[in-house]
Amino acid sequence: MFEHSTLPSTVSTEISGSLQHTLGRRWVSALQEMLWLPENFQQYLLLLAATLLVGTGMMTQVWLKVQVTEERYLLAKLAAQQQRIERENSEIVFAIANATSLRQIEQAAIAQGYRPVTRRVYVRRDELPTLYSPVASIAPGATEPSPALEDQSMDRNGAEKNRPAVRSSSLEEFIAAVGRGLKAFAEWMSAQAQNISAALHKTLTSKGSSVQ
Amino acid sequence: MTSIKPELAASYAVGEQHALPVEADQKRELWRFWFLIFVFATLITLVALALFTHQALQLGGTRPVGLPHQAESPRGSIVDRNGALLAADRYFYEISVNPTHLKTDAERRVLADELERLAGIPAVQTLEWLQQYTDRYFLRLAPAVELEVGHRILAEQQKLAQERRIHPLLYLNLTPAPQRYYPEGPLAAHVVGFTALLENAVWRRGVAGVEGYYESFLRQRDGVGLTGNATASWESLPEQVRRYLPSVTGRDLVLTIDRGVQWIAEEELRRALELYQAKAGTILVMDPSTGEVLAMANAPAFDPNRIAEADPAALLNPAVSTQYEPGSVFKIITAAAALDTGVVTPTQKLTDTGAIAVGQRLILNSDRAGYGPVDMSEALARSLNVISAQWALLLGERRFYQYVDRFGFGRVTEIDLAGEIYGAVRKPGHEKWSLSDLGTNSFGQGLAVTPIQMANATAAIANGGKLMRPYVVKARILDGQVQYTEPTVLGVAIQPETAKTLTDILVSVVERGNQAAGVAGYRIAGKSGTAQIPGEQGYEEDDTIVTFVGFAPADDPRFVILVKLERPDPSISRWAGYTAAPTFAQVARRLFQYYNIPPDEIRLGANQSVEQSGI
Repeated sequence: MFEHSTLPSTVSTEISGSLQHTLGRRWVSALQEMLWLPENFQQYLLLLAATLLVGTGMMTQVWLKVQVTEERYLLAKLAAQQQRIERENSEIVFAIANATSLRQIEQAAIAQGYRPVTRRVYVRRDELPTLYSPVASIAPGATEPSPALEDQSMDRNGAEKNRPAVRSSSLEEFIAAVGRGLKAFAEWMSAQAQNISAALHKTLTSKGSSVQ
Repeated sequence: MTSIKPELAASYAVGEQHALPVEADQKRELWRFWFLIFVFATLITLVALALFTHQALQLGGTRPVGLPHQAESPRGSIVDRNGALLAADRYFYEISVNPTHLKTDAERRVLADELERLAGIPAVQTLEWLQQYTDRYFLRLAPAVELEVGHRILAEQQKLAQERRIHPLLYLNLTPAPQRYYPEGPLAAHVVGFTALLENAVWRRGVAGVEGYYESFLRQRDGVGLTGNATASWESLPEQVRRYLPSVTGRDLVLTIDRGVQWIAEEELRRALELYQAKAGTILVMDPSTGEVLAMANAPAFDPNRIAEADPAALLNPAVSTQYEPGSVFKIITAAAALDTGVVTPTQKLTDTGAIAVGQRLILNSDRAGYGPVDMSEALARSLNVISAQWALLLGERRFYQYVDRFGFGRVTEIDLAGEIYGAVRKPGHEKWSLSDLGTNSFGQGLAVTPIQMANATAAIANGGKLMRPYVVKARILDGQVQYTEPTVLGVAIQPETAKTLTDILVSVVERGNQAAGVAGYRIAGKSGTAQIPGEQGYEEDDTIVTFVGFAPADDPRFVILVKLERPDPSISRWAGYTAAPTFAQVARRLFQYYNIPPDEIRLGANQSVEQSGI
């Protein structure tokens, strides 16, 4: 069975003591026949270095794979999170869009007592006594809606019927209002001028005394 | 006999004398053996580790894998020209299960109870389905549950997975499924369109309006891209338009529709229908210089959020999908052709005898009266059929139909809305055409047009004779790139001088003949038309379709408005001048306010700086 049985008795006795040794020898022999095996220290070192190189390469590959897998997992997690946020965002958009739809705005406006603009009055700037005068908004006829719209605006809010409408139908009233506005503005300007002059005087006086 | 290697034989031969070298050799052999074992073990370990990364680390999870199932494809959002949201996706969760994974009734019962607890789905129903379809691989338990409910179930599943428990709830699949919603409800429903699950289809698809026309673009899955290279950056869009954009899909549409104008048009249409007891109606508002459709209101309308409850007849967009005999508004086209060819001058008077025979047909005025010599303004203001037929005869059939074609009748306007039809114009060469058709066609009888064709033809006059392609999508957005729709000139219908002359004539028509269409302080050009409705037994006795089409301000047209009312109550009025014209005026008045257009006197005055106040 074993080749060693034909060998000299001294050798046979020494190596037959251990089955492991025998198997080892057989494997080594078989491997030696098939593969190149190191014969000396340098060759051992060479094989070890090659093994280490291959091992390091494979370890690097494993490490990279682990990294890629980790990143992929993280990406998947972030993508899921993004999708979740997008879905939640769509829910918010839904709520905002519903709340700001024209029908909702109309209902809210009616509830707050607003009514549609039925007429817009344009006045030339050179004809206006002052810019942005509040009286421009109560120009003659400005608040008189057309009959068709008057009904509509009133129907939209019953409370409007009880609200006294701002009406100014004559040119005299308009001019008087402008006059009142101008007078009030002149008085205000005069008061401001007096205040400034007083403050200036006070400052100059205090500075003069400190110098002395 | 077994052969021994020479070096080994030599060592054996001197074995007794040299015992130590043999022992050393054995040790070296063993060392080599273990060294090789180590090398191979290392390699095997590394290979195993590599396999581990492929197999162990890449395992998806512990949940059972069901059959692949794709939910609805998300769709892009649709906003109006100012960024108001008109259509968007809202997410729900579809709950499904693979019933074959549930082996026992106890498991099914637990699952049903848990679903009732977490999502409020009746356990009895769920259990019945689970017991009924035990051999199926896919069972939809709920088509759409709220996002919050879905998150609750997912959190419960996560908790169970972390506890490493085997629980029937883990067999549930929650697939996010988008559903379309329309925040403005019926507003601009015919323009925006809707989505529906068609027969034998797996997913819903856009079937009308913009949803239908841009189905391939809006759909994320298998959607098409932008055509051409003319794209602009995302920043080119005004900030307010970007409020709701981009959507999740990144494929969105910005419409030319103005929500405010659309609201005005729909409100006035509703009021007109109520006031004149009309059965249906359409109001179109267009920008003549570009062809942009600012509003397209139709009644009856529908709510795209409740499409199942809508009347199927109301789903069609009458502005582009229904045709009608336009009646006297078509005289604008005949007059334009007559002026452009020079066969008639604006001041040239033709004699109205009250009747004229064209071919085999006697044409009369609507009031059966004759008005003697009349110029073009008076003929249009009085809407005289006899004079209109005379213009057509002077033009001759070739030139008349050439202009009909130039104004875009008898073919699609190429508007980007699903379901547009051609209209019907019989021309010479058609087997049923006769000379009498020339006479009747001249005042809008015997041919059929769509409201969008009529509005677009009038827009051509307002635009100095250039016929534009009408469109409703202002910009398409794809992944941050914006592609604007360029206004397209389809052709030149008439010369600019003719357009100007005709505009002046149409202004006088409103001032002299259709005063109800006027708005104080503004010059408006327009024309009314009352058409009888053809039936099987000839024209119907009392029912009419009334139209008014015009534009304003006449010197610098900002909008074209077409008002069409079907079958107004004859006891109120069957004439356009008393129904469509005042509706037109009401829309125009509100648009002047909306666009902040001062009256002509101020706008065209020496000092153009004005102060305004809205009251």
